[in-house]
Amino acid sequence: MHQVKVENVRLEYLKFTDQIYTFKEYVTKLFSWKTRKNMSKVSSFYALDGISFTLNDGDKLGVIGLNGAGKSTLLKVVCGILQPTEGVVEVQGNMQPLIEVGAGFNPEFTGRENIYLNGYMLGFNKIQIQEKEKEVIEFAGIDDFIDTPIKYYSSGMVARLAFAIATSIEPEILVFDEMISAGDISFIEKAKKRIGELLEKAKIMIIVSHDLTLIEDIVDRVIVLKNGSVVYDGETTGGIQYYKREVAKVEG
Amino acid sequence: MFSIVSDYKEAFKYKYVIGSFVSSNLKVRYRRSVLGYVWTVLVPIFQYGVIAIVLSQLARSAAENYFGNFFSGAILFGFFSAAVSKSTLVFLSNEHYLKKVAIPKLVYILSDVFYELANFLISFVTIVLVGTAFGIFKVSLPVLFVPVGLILFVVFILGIIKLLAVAGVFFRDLKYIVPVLMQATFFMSPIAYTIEQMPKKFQIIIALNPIYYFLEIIRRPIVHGKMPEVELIMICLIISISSFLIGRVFLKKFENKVIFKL
Repeated sequence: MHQVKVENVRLEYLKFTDQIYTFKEYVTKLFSWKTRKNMSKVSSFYALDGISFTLNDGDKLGVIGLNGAGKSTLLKVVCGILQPTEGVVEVQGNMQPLIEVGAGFNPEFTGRENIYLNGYMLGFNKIQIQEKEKEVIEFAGIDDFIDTPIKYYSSGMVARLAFAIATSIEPEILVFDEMISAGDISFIEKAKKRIGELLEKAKIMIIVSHDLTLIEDIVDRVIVLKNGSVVYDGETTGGIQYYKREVAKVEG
Repeated sequence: MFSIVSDYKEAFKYKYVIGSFVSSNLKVRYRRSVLGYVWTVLVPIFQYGVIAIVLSQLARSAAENYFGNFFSGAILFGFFSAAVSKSTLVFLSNEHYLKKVAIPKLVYILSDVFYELANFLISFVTIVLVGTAFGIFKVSLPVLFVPVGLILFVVFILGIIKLLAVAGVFFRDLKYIVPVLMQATFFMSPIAYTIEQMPKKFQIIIALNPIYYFLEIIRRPIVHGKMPEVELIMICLIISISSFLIGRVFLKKFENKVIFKL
């Protein structure tokens, strides 16, 4: 059984100011108790504030909200990139975040080295990657350049390789942030088809998107986030309507 | 205690990541250079050779086996210095990974340490072998102790790196301070001189420098052909473990905050 369980998760986001004191200022401030207290204080806010949900096999969750509502932060907490300040995140099953394409690329390494590095980072072993290697190179269409350092690639090639790597794994739990569209028209078509396949195969899915038609098509449960809190949790059509009416304040 | 073990277990799940970082970085380092890895050995030989030749001419430094003493010290210190100087940047230079991939922070630290260790071992082994041919080093039975000494040294370095890796994110000035401190540490360690040549009051300062003990524990076998004394081993063991624990406390306390400050 696969499960994603998020319980009362709060994430305190530390905001560091880049203000740098000159040495003179620093010393004079040290002697004044009041400013000294201010100086060491780091302002913070809760990017996620008490979020709970449980997903079991077959659940497809869409997360919508305005920019800065905490959608991507929520995905990063679910994936373990950020640790929650309070609360628990439990994941059973292998999870693949498609959060940002080209996540683990080092421009000095060759395409092939990056394929392996990425695969290892996702927890795969050498044999598993060898199986995928050829397919990835083919899909990305960079056969001739695979042993060239990535810094010599065109941006389209990098994006294609990144996409091919990220989608070469069929995870049980798919965490999916809006993907950038990369490459020419023919590649976008290929990419769309591939994402469709991934979505079909995943047992549990969490999607963040501003594309409400996509959300409506794919998911069967929607969470609406506002300032880090859940303001709606339930069935899709209702969620989208609520979002349009109450949060985004648009007609229709 | 158990959580230390589980930390390392967790990090070694990503042993292939570490391996791939190390091997790719080694390849990148000598890409398109004609002599390649040979430079790992040639650079320290030339660099230290020049200094050793000049210094050995000074009357006061004319100690017994000056070259053996100098080379063994300089090369060990070179490893320490290279690993520690880079440590303030471990998280900063891996920012793009840290923000996008969920792997333990220890993995990045271990990757850097093993990369430097690989470079060091290549030059260390070659120089010891060449030095033995020239009669400045001794390869005899006590040499078997060298790996133990090196492990203690690495554990010591690991602690410092953990501390500086975290500190380097919060105090960016450290990136300039640490290399300067390294130079001071070099002259405060008995490399260009032996501790006996120093006046008594300086000997006390040197005795406070932890690196001194690690230099000695490895010099005993390769320079003097002797096993290190039990007291020396105990001192190194205590320094290693203390450094390791301090580093760990810092890393544990701050590793989740690092990402907000990058």
